[in-house]
Amino acid sequence: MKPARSIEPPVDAISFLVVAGDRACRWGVDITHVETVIEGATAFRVVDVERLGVPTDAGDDVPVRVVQLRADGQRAGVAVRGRLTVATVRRTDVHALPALVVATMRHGAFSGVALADDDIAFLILDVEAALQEAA
Amino acid sequence: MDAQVSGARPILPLQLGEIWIAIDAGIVLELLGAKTWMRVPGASPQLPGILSWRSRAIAVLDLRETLALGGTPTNPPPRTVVAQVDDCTFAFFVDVAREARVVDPEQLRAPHVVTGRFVTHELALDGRVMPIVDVAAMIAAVSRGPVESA
Repeated sequence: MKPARSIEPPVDAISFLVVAGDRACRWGVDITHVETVIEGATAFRVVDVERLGVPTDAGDDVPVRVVQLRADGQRAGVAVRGRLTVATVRRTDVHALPALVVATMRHGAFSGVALADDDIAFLILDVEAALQEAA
Repeated sequence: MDAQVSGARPILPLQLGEIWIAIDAGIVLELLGAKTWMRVPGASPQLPGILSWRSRAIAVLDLRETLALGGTPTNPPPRTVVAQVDDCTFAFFVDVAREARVVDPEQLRAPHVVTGRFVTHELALDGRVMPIVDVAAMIAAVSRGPVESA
């Protein structure tokens, strides 16, 4: 019998669940905070990510999914539209948002950014901010 | 003669739509072609997003918004200027960037044709009157929060 292949990312890498809608904003969440993805579920608290400024392609004819997040014993769902993919990036490609941008933000749904091929790959959702929004 | 000794200063002429401006060339780190950038939801209109430069994320400064120039920028903007003020590295987009020029203080005069919060002087260059925009003051102002359009 072949040994099962590990699905763990390399130690120097982090996997993200990435939401890529039709709008310019792509964002991802550290997959260790993702409990499950449910098609159309509404049975638990859902974060209003638009209040956090996250584009959700609202009104577009795209199915809604709920990504259930967990951190420090708290749980909340984030309703998303758009394609979901998994991206694994090196830790060295994960950066905080520039202090200049953070200092002037009206609200902060994102804590960082992942780079790839000298380009912005996606923004990284601040899970704590999302859970606080749901609380 | 050395620019520092003579009091001469290097400036970089830039075009934004129909407007020409000049900035202190000493803050410019690199001039690039078109660069893709990403809006950050919740960011201020003056610093609306980020782009990748030398394997790091830097802020995007919207010069049009901050200078209240209006108009729709070309998308993607054809030239990207990467600059640094103190420890802040940032980028902004222009339509055209000319070669840097060294100008004497006698060529600078008080702004009349174009005035604004961040315009320190104006300069006649190549048959055009260009406001000299103090980008360092602009960064200091926007870093304190959204500013009134200049």
